[in-house]
Amino acid sequence: MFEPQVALDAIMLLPPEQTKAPWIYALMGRARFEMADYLIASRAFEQARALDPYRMWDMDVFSTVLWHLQRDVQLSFLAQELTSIDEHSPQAWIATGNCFSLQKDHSQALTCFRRATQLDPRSAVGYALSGHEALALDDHDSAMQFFRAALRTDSRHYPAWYGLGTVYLKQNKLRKAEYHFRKAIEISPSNAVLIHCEGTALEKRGELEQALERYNRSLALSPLSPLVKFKRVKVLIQLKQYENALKDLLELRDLAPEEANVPFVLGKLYREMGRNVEATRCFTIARDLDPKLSAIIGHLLDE
Amino acid sequence: MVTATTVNSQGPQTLKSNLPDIGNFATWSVSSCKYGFNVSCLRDGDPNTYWQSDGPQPHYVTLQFQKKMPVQRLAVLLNFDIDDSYTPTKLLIRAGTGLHDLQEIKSVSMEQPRGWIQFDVGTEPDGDEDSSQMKPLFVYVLQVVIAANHQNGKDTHVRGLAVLGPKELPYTDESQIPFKTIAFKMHEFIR
Repeated sequence: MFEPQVALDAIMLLPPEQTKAPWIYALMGRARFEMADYLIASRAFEQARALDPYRMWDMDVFSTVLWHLQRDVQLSFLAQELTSIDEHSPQAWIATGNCFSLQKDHSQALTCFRRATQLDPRSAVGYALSGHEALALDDHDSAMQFFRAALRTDSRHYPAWYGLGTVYLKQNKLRKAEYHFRKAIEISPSNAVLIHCEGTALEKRGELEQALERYNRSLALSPLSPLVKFKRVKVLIQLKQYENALKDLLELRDLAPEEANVPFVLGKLYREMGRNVEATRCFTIARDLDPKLSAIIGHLLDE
Repeated sequence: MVTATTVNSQGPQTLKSNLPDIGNFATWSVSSCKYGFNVSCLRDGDPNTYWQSDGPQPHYVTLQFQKKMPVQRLAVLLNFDIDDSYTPTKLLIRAGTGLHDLQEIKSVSMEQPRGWIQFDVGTEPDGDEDSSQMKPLFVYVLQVVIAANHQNGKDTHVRGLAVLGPKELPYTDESQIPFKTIAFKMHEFIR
């Protein structure tokens, strides 16, 4: 079982001269990564790299962190550096693959990740990332094969369980998706993303109360994540708890003012509550933020 | 009712379209094939490989989708210069919810085709007056039948087949556009 918080607590107990070692910084980054706390993870990894610039170990994780934060420049620099240090290391190829993936060149990314697995056939990370790229290319069958290959090398590699869950979710096989997400959660119970994904599967199946419980739990693990809050809002609206949903949405609007989905859902909620003036105002803001919504909003306003 | 159309028989050598390729969502099968000229030759994007039928007519390609999919157009790569009497001249499009209830919806004729030939699958005109585009067709199963070849050829060569979805998915109530801000996207997935 992954317990990153316990690891962090143990690190805090170390004498100060030991906590400043690059190895410890990388470990802290790793722990924060498992908790889906990417911002702090990136700081720890940066610190580790500053102290030990030729470090290869764990740098594949760092590249994934940068992928999540969408820092393309930094990621490209990291990939370049790792390649120049050792072009035969799987870490360098994983970083390069992440770089391509961020540029939406998924087939090239897939090639890089496969190269990483060729260099280290025991690399569950490489297989799982190949799976995610295959999924991005809508190739469900080979995505499943990659995830299974990852599980063959390391049956506790929870991103692969999660990956299988997402494939089933895309195919609308909800019970299977739920099963695989639950497997992943068993291994890593403190990952907020896994829990809200299970919530999504439950929500699609119409189990709104259970989905709400998952979202609450996910939000307790990462209270600042706007995405989880947004998903909870959608369930709250379906459960007709409009006041609670409204409170959350107004918070979200302040938290992420440039996200078009927030005013869009807020507008729909206002309409549901009969506050049409505010609804129209929200729809207009949403349309300005993302012109793609204009067709849908036009449709809603005509009704 | 079957709509009959004639399409422009000259197409580009490489398929360029702003529509998404939805072929990966389907299971592909063919009525028959010669060994080494199987269904994968339709999908490899290589104009030098082709599917060749090897059996009784009619020859057809069947696409079965896991869920109901909107299909905008089909693109077929043909080359009359090389294939001669193996080149199809008339295609029939069938659609349905399963193999048992396929309906013929369209017949497409062409004359000495070269390159990627594209046509809309739907038969209902789009609301837009100035575009000749049709509404996408929602299907579980799509079947392309080779109804006739040039000079009454028996077997057929098809060098490529692509199935393209609509640019934007039609309006549904729970529709949601992808998140844009990093704060939202960060926790959408793990890797």
